[in-house]
Amino acid sequence: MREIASDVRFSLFLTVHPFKGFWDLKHERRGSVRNGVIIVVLVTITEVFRRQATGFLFNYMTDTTRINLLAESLAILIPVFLWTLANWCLTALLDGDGSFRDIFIATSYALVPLIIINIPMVGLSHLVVEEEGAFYYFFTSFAVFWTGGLILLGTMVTHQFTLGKSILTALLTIVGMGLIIFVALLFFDLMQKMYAFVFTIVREIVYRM
Amino acid sequence: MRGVTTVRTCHRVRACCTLIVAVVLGAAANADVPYNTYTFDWRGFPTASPHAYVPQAVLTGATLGVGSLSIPAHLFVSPSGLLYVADSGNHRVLVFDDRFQLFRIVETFAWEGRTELLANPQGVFVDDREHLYVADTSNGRVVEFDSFGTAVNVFGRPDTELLDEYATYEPLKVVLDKARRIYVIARGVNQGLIELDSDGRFRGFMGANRVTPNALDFLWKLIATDEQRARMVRFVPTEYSNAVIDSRGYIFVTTASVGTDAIMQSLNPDDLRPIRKLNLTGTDVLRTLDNQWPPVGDISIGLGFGAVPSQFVDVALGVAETYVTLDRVRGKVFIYDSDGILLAAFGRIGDRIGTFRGPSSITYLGDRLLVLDSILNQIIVFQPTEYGRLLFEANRLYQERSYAESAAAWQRVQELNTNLEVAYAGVGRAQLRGGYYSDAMESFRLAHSPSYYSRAFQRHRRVIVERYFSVFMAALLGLIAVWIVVRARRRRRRRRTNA
Repeated sequence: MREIASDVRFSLFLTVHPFKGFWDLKHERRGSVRNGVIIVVLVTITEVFRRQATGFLFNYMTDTTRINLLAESLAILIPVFLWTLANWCLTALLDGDGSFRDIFIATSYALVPLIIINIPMVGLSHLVVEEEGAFYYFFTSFAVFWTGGLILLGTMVTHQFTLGKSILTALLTIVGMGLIIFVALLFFDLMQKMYAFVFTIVREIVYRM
Repeated sequence: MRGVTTVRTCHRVRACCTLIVAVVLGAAANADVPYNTYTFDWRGFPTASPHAYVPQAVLTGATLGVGSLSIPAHLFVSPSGLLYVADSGNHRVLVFDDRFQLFRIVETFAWEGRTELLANPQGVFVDDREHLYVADTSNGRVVEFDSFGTAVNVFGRPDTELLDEYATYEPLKVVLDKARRIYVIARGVNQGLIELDSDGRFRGFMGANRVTPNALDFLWKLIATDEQRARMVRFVPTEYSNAVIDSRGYIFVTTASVGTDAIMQSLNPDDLRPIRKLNLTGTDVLRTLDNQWPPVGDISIGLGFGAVPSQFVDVALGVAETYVTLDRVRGKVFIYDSDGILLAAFGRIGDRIGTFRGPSSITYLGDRLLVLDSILNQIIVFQPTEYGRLLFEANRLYQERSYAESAAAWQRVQELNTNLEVAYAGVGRAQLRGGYYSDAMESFRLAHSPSYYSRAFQRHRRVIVERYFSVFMAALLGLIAVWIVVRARRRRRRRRTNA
C-alpha cells in the first residue's frame, strides 16, 4: 500500500520536476514496466471516459451511443507503442543511452498530465456554458502541450541528448512512425495477395483433380 | 374448460386477423405513395419521416382540355390565383383558374400592326396588375401582356456592349420587383441577372455568381505549366436556372448548371450555394445556421458513379418564409424552413403517379404543390397530409410570435415524427421561454443544437446556484469554523505537551 502511494507520488513529482524525475526514473530505478503499463491503461480509460461522459456542449460532434471501445483504445495504444518502437530504432543509431524499456517507461510516465487534467475537465464540461468554453479548451490543450513537453524532456534525459538533438529526434521519430505504418500496411497487403495467390492455385488444382 | 380455451383462441385469432388486415391496409395506403419522405439527422444520415405531401392528381394536356403539352418549362401562379403554364414546345402560354379550367391561351399577339407569334417561351411572370411577362426565348425578347391578353410592351435585346455581341440573346426567365424593374435570366449569360428598368433600358447585372478561387488552386496554378493550366477546369461562374421574387422584394435564385467536376474539384462544396436569396444589391442574404446542414439538397450522396449533387431547377415560396426547391437529378422536392433547415424531402425518378422524369418547375397553388414534368408533359398535383399541414402551421405560428401555440403544434409534429430534430427545437424554444429550463435542455440535446442548449443550461445553472447558494455558503462557513476550532485545540494540546 505504501509502495503504491509512493509510486503515485513519484509520478506526480515527475510531471512538475521532469529533469530530476526522468533521471531518477532511469538511474534510481524508480519506474517499472508494470507501472508504465498501468499508466497507459489508465490513459486509455480516461480517453474513453472523456469521449463518453463529456457534457453535450463540448461533445456534440460525438455520437455517444456508437462509441467503439476497441477503436478508441487502439487510438491510444498504437501511437504509444509506435512512438516507443520508432524512437528506440532511431536512438540506437543516434547514440542514445536509453533501452527500449527505458523509452517505454519514460513515454508512459510523460502521459500522466492527460489523466490528471482530463478527468476533472469531464466534470467542468458539465458546469460551463458555451461562452465559457475557452477555459475548457485552454485546459485540454494545456494537457496536450504539457504531455508533449514531458515526452520531449523524457527523450532528452533518457538518452542524454541536447535539447536540439532531442527535438530533431522527435521529428525523425514521427517520420519513423509513418514508415512503420507504411511497411506494416505493405506487409499486410502482400500477405493478403500471397494468400489469394496460394488460395487460387489450390482451388485450381482441386478443380482439375 | 376446453371449449372456453377454443373460444379464447378464436378471439385471439380474430384479433390477429384484424391486426394483419390493418397492417396490410396500412401498407397498401403507404404503397399508394411511390416515394419515401425523409429528413437528415445531425450526422447527415437520412431518417424516415411521415409523408408531408402525397400525390393527388396527374394533369396531362388531355385532362386539361388543351391537347398534349410539349416540353413545358415553367409554372407560375399569379397573385390572384391563376395558374400560368409555359407550354414551350407548343409555343404558347396556357392560363388556368385554380380549379384547372382553361381561362386563356396566349399564342399570338398584335404588335406594331403585325401578328406576332411566341417561339419556345421558357418563362412566365405575372405582376400584381395581372400583367403577364413572357420570356419569348427563341425570339430573343420579353413580351408584356395586360390583363386582357393584349400585348402592351416588347423588350428586345438590351442595348449594351457587356453582352457577347456574337451570341444570340435568349431570355429564359423573367421576374419584376415592386418598382417594375425587370430581371432577366438569359442563356449563356453568367454575369448574373440582367437588370432592366421599367422602360426596358439596360441598367446592369445583378447578383453575379462570384467565383472564389481557393489557396490550393492558386498554388497549383503557380507551379503548373501553360499546357497544364490550359487543361485545368476553368472556374467560370455558373448561370442561374430560375428566379422567384418574394413579397418583400428578395429574389430567390437557383443554380443548376454547377458541373459535377466543379463540385468534385472544389474543396468546399458549401461555397457553391445552389440556392440564394438576393437583396437589392445582389448580395446573398439566405439565412443558414451554424452547426446545421446548409440547404444544398441531398447530403449523403455517396461516392463514385451516380453520386451527383442535387441540381436545383426551381424554387417555390411558402408560408412563414419556408421554401421548396426542386432537384432535377434525383427528381426530389426539398422543403426548407426560414433557417434553411430541411423539413421534409420526397420524390423520385420513375413512371408511377407521383414520380418524375424531367421535373422542370414547381409552384404552390393554395396549399397544394404543383410540379411540372417536361418529359412526361404533365403536371403532378401534391396535397399536404395532416403532418405536412402541422409542419407549416408550427412554422407560421412561430413566425407570428404565438410561441405557446407553436410549441403545441411542434408537440403534435413530434408525436408523428420522433426523428425530426427541428420539432424538438420548436418545443424547446417554448420551454425556454416558459422557464422550464431543464426540460428545454433535454429538448435541445435531442434537437442537437449546442447554442440553444447552452442558453437553456445557463438559465438552469443560475436557478440552481440561486437555490442552493445559502446552503452551500452555510456549509462552507461551518467547515471553516470547525477547521479553526480543531486547529486551535491541536495547537493548545501541542503547547501543553511541549510545556
